[in-house]
Amino acid sequence: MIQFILVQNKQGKTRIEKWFAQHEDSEKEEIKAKVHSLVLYRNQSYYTNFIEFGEFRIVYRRYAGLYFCFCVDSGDNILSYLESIHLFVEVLDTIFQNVTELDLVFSFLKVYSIVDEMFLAGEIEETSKEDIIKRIALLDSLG
Amino acid sequence: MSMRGLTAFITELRNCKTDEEEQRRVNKELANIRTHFKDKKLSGYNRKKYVSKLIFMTLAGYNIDFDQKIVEDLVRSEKYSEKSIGYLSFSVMIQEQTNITKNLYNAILSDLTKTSEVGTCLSLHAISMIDKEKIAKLVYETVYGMVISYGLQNYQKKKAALCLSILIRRFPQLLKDKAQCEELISYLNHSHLINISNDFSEDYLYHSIPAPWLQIKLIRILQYLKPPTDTESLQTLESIIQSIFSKISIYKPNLQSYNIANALIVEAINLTIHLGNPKALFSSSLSILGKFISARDINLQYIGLDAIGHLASVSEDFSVFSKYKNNVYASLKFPDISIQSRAIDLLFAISTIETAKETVEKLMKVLRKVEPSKSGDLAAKIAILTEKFATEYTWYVDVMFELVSYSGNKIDSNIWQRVIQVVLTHEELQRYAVKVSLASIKPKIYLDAVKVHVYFIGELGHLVAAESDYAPLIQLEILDAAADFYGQPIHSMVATAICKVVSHFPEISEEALKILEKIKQSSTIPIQQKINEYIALIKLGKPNMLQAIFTNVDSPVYLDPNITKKLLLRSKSIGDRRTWVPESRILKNEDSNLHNHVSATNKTKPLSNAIKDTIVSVEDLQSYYNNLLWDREGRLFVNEDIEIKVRIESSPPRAKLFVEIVNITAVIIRQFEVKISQYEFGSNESDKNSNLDDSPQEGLQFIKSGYRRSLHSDLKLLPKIHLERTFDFVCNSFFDSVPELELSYLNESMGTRNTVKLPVPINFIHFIEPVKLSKEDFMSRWSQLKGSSYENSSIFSPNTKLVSEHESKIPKEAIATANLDQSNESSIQETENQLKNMSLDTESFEPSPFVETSKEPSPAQTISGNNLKKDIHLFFALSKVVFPSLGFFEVEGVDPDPESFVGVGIATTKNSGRFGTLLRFELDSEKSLAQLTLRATSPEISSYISKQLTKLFGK
Repeated sequence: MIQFILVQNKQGKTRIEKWFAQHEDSEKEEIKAKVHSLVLYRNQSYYTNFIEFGEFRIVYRRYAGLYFCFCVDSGDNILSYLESIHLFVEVLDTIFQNVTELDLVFSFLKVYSIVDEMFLAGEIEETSKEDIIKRIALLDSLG
Repeated sequence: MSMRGLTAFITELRNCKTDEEEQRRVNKELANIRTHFKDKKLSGYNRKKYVSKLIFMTLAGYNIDFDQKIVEDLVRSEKYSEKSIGYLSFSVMIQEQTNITKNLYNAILSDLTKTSEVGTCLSLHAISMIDKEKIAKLVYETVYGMVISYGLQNYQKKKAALCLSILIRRFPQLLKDKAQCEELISYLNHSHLINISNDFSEDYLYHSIPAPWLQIKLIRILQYLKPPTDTESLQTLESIIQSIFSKISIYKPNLQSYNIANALIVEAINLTIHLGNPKALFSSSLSILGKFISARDINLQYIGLDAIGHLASVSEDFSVFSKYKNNVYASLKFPDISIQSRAIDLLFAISTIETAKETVEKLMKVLRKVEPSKSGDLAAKIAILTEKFATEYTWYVDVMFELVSYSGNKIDSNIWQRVIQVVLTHEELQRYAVKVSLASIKPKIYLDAVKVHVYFIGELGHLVAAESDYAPLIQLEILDAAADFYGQPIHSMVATAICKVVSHFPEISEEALKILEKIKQSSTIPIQQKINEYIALIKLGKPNMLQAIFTNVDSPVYLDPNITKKLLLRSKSIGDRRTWVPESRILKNEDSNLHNHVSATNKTKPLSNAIKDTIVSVEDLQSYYNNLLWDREGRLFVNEDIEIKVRIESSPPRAKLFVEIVNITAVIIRQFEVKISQYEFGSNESDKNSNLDDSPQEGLQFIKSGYRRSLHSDLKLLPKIHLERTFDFVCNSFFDSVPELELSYLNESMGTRNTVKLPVPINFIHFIEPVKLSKEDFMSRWSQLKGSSYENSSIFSPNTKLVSEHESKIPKEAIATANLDQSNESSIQETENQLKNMSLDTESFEPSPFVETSKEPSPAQTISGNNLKKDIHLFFALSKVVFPSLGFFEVEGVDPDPESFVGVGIATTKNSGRFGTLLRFELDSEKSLAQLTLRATSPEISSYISKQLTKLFGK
């Protein structure tokens, strides 16, 4: 199960956050700061994309200046979540035509509805890129 | 979805140069929004624009209060764009722990059924985020109904199913009964949710791999189910796994397909392990993982180490892993702590008595460099490995002292407490330990380490005082130096240690007093007072009294494996169960809600008259118990209602008993209870009383079961459903009586209550582990333990029936040879010649003189003599399989007779130490007799094991 999804930039500003388990506010701030400090200094060639995080594991991928982090249960198949991140990025990339950090800022309403179409209750909900894009287009057209 | 006002606001915020400026802009906007919210005629568009701004500010980290009435209006709006923003603000609010109003909840709940498809979907998302039992109860039936309905859109059903899954995870009691489960399962059969093999849609191709996430999920589900027992299903699964394995790729033509293909492989390996590691699959799993850990991609190395750890956690033979040892050592050197942790855990898991020394050496190197947060865990692991696999006491002491004196990071006080416990409970360690302590007091070592050394000098110094290098006066000097080097923090300990030394050697009182006076000068007031009392005591000149005071000033020492417990401590989350905790192998049948229902039916039936107690004695089940001694898995009991199978996993001095109960009738068995009663089988009254004590420190002790007590009673056993329970035991000291496993249940058709009491099938023998000894070491120990106080031997006629019962376990070659031997008498001749040619060296093994029995061989025996001989050969072949499983390492080449087994094992107890157990088993195929000789460091152990094994092997 995914515990939370965080997308942060190099400066540690959180651009997307989705929590599937309940946390206190202060705890969330702590987690965000911790995750940022953990991913920041990892050189891609000597470090894995996995960070052991208490009883969980953080699976992360870096795209340009953005870190996409999924925190999952330690028994989960982490390689498959590594690809979930990529699928998520592919979807964002298609919908925003070469997604940038600014898209995540200005179109946050749309970004969260994409998250909702892909993940629910900490589980992967949909993995067909085409279906997700179609669904988002439909929601957009509803007005 | 775009709103000009929102975009402009975001741009303005981004243009702010300082935090203060941004804060001012936010405050201005908040004031502006508050004014607009007061407007009764606020338009829908403005409502969503302002709320969107609030959401943005919250996400940017500002603490914002939402107007819940406005949010509610948005949720209730007919327009999707307004509704969705209402829902997003709800999700932000619930994440921020805001108290949500009843009206807002109601708005969300009404969307679940009343509005359009998109409205329902939004509502399902919101509900999945609410962690409140009351609301979960309210919506449960509706959401459940959506999942099993046929009329809804797939989109809705998918969301409903995921929503249902989190509701059940949070509140398992919602899933009312088995019937609902079955309904859900049958729904899966009918629906078109799962369909990969035939006509998966092109849409689900991910970089040329069909629906990989679904495949992984399905393989995961198989791991939640009991492995199939029929060969056909097994073969199907095996071929699926093989075909996944064939897609291994350790290069990166396409990073995406490569990752996901390997993710599938890892899941397939998990399934392989779940299936019990069928031979062919096990070796392919291992070779794949071998490739993973030597791959260039560091992620794959991590995955490989993790999965080998998983594999090792279910393996008994660790030798297969040793060839990867060097790769794992290499991984220890990586800067990435994730890789390091996996490597450490793996080394910890696959350590054996042969590799422990090397492993500990490597881990010590890591300990010096590891980051502080990890050092405690690593130190604990080193301590456990050292303790578990120490073959030389000097090694144990050296490693543990190094660990304690390692000053780079703070090490858990558990470790040094443990060293003290172990040394004080093992006499053979003490002399060496105190000598090392005396030599270790130097400036600038870690304070905790100095404390341990000072403590040992006080407690154990007298043991070595006869040696001139460690004379009492020298010990005093060393203690004096310790006080000089470390000052106040250890004054109190040094003073106590000095008194302990003086209590053994009153002749050095003068010198001791001088040192105490000196220390006193620089001590704090309370310590000065203490030292004054010490000085007065010594001046009394009564060494006996001094000894009485200073012996055992500390609480009695007992070995408490705290560090082990700490290591294994894992907190629970509501997420996916790890598929590889042993308990998860069998689907649980647990439902505490049932008991209301059950007790209601009780009241109507007067049961007290009809209670039938079945108490089963050991003798009836002896053969099951015998098998469990070495096979450690199998049937324990069966009657017309239930069958009980058990599995015993021991890691001495601990043992875990897995009890699997199956209702073999066609009806539900109610009011099922299972528990362990600490009452000791076969012990006398006074023993029983002593067991009322909270923690009996003797014999086999029941510690805990894997379940809360309340779940042990009033269970409902459905036909053919397996119920698994685990119980943990610890072997405190040698035992020959055990607690009872007590089961009781209601047989409704008969109106009876049946109680079954069974001795727990854990035997002292389960705490024996093989230990590798060379022939020479074995011989020297064997001769050390000569004499009636250590030795016990018995002669019996072998129970050749065992051969037919366990034929499958006998190696094929042995069967072939036995058949051959039947027609080839010369081999026996050869053996006899061999015996004659043996040298007469007294230390060597000579065949034991079998006691001449006066009995004439029976006619049957002579007629079927050849058959019998064959049986004896097979019997021997079987015994060669059984002894190692019992925990005896075969020492080869000791006994000249090839048809004999010579072995050695070591029993570990929690409180009374370890006991070496040596064994020799000889067979005389002519007379059809067996002789078993046991030599152990304790006579009761040799006699007990001899008795047990005679029962196992004899007629």
